[in-house]
Amino acid sequence: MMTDATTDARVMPMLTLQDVHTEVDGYHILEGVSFSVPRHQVTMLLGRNGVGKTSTLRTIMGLWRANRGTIALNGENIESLNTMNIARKGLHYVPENMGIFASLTVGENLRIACRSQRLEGERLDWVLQLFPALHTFWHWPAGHLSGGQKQMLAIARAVIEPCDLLLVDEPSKGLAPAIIQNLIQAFEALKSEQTTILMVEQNLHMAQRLGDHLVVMEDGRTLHEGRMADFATDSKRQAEWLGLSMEASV
Amino acid sequence: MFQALRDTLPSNRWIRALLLIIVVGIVLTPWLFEGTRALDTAARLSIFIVLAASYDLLLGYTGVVSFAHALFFGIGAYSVAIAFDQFAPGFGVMAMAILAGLSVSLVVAFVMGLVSLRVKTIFYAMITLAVASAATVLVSQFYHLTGGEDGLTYRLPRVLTPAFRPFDDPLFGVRLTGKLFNFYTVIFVAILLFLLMVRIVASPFGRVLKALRENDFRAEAIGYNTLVYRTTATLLSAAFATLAGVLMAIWLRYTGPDSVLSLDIMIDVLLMVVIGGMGTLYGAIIGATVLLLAQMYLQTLMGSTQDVLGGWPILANLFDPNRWLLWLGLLFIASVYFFPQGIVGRFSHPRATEAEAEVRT
Repeated sequence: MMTDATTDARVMPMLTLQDVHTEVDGYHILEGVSFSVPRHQVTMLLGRNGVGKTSTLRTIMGLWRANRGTIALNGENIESLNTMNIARKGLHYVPENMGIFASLTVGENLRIACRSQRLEGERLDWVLQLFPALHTFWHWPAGHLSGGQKQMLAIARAVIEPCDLLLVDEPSKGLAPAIIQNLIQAFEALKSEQTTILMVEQNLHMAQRLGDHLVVMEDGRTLHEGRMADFATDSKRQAEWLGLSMEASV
Repeated sequence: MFQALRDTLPSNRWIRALLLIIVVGIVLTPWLFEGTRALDTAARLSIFIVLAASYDLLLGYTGVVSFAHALFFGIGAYSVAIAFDQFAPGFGVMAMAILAGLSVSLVVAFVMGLVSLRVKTIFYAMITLAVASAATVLVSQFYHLTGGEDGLTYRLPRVLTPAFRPFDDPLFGVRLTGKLFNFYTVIFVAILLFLLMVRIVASPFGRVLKALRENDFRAEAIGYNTLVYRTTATLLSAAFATLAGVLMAIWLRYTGPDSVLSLDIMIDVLLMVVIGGMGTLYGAIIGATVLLLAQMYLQTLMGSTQDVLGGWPILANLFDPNRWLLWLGLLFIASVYFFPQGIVGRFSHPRATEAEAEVRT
């Protein structure tokens, strides 16, 4: 299998989950999650509240340990590694609560995201172009930023170093529509850089605009995996799987 | 170094001025104030600033609560004291003693650091308390070596004693003796150690520590080895406390459980850090100054207040010098009430205000 995969690395998915089960404090949260994240594409992980989308991201990142199943990054199993080593493999994670360091300044937050702690000029310029607000508030403690600015900082921090795979958990949550538009533009720019992204998103409008690939979850399992374009036109399935016509009007 | 100072100094002008006054006051003490008491206060103050700052490195920058910090201070002091007690005083012996003290401290800190990974916060604090108490018991048990409860009095190299008088003429009214040389050795080394800590805090390493204190899972998800960073911080903190202990032993020419190892010292250091402001490093300077000056001079101050209030029976009674501990307690309560983040912490969200001003204009 490895030989097949290495013969054409572009065909091999960036990340593959195979029958992943996760238990947290005795509760069976993931009960067989299987899907793959194609290289250089944006994969949207959708589903109703509480079906295990965030748990899937946390399990990939090693913050929760998979009890069963395999998680492979570029064909190499990572499910038994700890979080630090998974991060060092090139997985960058933007959690739902953004996890910025509130007492550090915006600049320090970005600097600490590079393990060498040196900001590389060109890359920094590119990131600041994506999120101009960060330039304005460079010397502010990050805790003083608004919700939207914090989200931008969290994403900027995840992409300040080139990464293999970016995991993003509900970036649009609680943000004003105008800011969501900004975010969409930023992600489109990342997409054009061929960044591979796995994103949990409740905002269907955003999911449709950005997504290439689609995974739908239900009750801790994968319900469907396919092309976003097919799903986008299928309002029956949208209602059936996601239980709503969602914030499609945003 | 200057960059590190600029990055870390609290930008509130009054706090900066206060820091400057304290440092200049300490350095020029022999010329500014008369008497050995002032000299002793200034030397102790500089030593306690280093000790409190080293504790802040642990408490304020990594969030680890330890009651065994005075233990490292004690190890430093006793290593020099025992060496000078057993061998002829000389700088070679002193160097060996410092190395030995540092080694013992680092081993103890490393073992305690390993424990801290297993047990959390309050339980770790209890363990450190037990270790600290055990150390005081050990000191009194091994009295042949440590002098027990009485402690050790020893001789220093002649250059550091009042008997050493290289010049006959005083300089601007102050006689240049070995005592003064001893004083400036302590002050110079203390300043050096403090600047070294500032450099550490301002370095990329210090930045990671601050990130860890806030959200260690997040730091780990970026790829930092939290274990390595926490342990290194614990070791550094212990090393600085040990060196502060060495300075104390050199300055006092006496080392005993009450002066370097007791729980009272530990609580004083904790108060200094809390009053000054945790996680600021400069808070140690202000906290140590407030506490030591209060301990040294509050009684005197109250005595003179009582004299002034002589005609008012109840008020005068309140300010009786024997009640100084009551007032010290009130002072602590007031400081924690008005400055919950410490004095430096209260006045330093500076970079935000500066940036806000920039944005507005």
